[in-house]
Amino acid sequence: MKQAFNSEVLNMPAPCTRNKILKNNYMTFLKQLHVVAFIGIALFVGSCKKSVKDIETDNLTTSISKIQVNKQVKWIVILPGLGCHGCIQEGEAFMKKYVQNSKILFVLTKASSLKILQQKIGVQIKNYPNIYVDFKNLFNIHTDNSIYPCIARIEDGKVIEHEFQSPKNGAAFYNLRSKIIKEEQ
Amino acid sequence: MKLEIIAEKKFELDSCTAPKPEFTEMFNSVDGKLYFTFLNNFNNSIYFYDYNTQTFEKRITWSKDGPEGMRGLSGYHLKSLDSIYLYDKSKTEIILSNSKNIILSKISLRGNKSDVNWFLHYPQYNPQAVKPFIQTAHEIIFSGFIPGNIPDSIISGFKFTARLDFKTNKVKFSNTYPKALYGNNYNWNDEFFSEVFSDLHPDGDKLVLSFPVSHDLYLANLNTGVYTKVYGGSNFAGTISSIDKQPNKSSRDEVMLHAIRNDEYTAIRYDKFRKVYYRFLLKAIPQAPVNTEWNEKPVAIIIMDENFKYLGETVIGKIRDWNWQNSFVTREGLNIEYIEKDTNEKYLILKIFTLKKI
Repeated sequence: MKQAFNSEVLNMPAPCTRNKILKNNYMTFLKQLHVVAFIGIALFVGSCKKSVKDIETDNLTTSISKIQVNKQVKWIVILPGLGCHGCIQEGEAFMKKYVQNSKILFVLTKASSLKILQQKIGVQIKNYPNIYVDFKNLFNIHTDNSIYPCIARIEDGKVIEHEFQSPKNGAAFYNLRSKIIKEEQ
Repeated sequence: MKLEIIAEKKFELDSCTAPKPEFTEMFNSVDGKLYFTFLNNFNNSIYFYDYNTQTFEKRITWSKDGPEGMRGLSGYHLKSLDSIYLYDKSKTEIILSNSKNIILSKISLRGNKSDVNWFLHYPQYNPQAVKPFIQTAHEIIFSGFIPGNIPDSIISGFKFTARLDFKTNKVKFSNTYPKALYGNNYNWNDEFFSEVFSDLHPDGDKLVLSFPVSHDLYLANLNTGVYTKVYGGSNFAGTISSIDKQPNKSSRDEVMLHAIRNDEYTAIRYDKFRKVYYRFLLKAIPQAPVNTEWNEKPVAIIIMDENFKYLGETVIGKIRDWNWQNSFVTREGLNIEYIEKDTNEKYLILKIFTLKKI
């Protein structure tokens, strides 16, 4: 680019023509510079675009930082009140069985009725410190997975891994049960 | 003209019942008693309360399990206590039962049961008090919709209104989506914009259809299916736009934000006592930031006379405070469920609105 510009200058045409050529070449240079800059920015933005998994991890990390999580807690189970009906039922059944497990924090978000949920799981929510009712909708995951129950493994308040119980991943709670049993052995 | 709260009704709920029922219906018994009835999905029951005294009277319960079980009970019509039409959304089926919870017959709303693509040919349903089963002299009319976008290839043939003949139990379908609103592969992307609301015109020969994306109302002749358009919009609503992206390129969050930033018409109800129409509008929040919740949208009600002449409109509050889907007309006025900030969920509260000249 620079060479082309200089060679035109060396040919020394008439001043007005030269100015025109200089102007034209300068414009070409600017255009090319813009193209390079645009490609650079696009590559930079592209490389910065977060994956769905990263967005979810960020969302979970932010949400967890806003509540007090007991150091004992190793797992966070987020149960949305609205969404995939069958998946949520799996989550409710899991909660009914493991609500006594203080290593698990249960987060109830977008709950349509706590009264009915208490009937389903057979416990009084206020009696369990490991149940957090998300009235402020802090645990809103901004991906299409927000309609599914989420299981996050945490260490020192940091999210290590997470997965969703969904039609595509129907064994998430089964896997968690297996891990809990393994840890207890 | 505006709407004003004149009274409140408070129904005490049992330990297995929450406010905001999925479906409610008023029912006149043969002895002249007026019942407020609602569905409890948790125990698969219809509850009956005396509307005037607000006392619980009885409930009818259907099994969720077994060969006769209904796992997706989501709406019903009490033609009489001997003829209760139940809607099971898990099977897209109408079940005729009675107050002794005996199943009398089952009527599929999806044609050939082996057709795995039935949802491309038959509507789905989201029964609510504001779009109930409409009973005429010989049939029950039930408004459905297609969730999401309507491909141009099926728009001319896809009929969203199911009509069940009492005598034969046969179902026929009528009413197609207007191409001007939903054709050209416009990306509306979610049921927010494709759900159809309807009420019977007082003449009894046509339906008044409210499409979320149109300021107009469509009068659908029940015999010919021909539409006549009338203006039925708000004086304050803006342009309602489709999503300027390919359907598979828009995320759930984007679709939700689009719905929040746009006006969205919903239910149309005729008040035979005052001879007016009420059309519900979920108002746009044009500058809504990302992460705004849908229930922040204000709810407005447009009032029109029986010839659809605009009389006024009233903003009653936000979606989070009003379960507008549970709205219906009685002699007292327009009943709308109010959502109390009570975590004990002890009462279902109806506020009654009536017309007031400004």
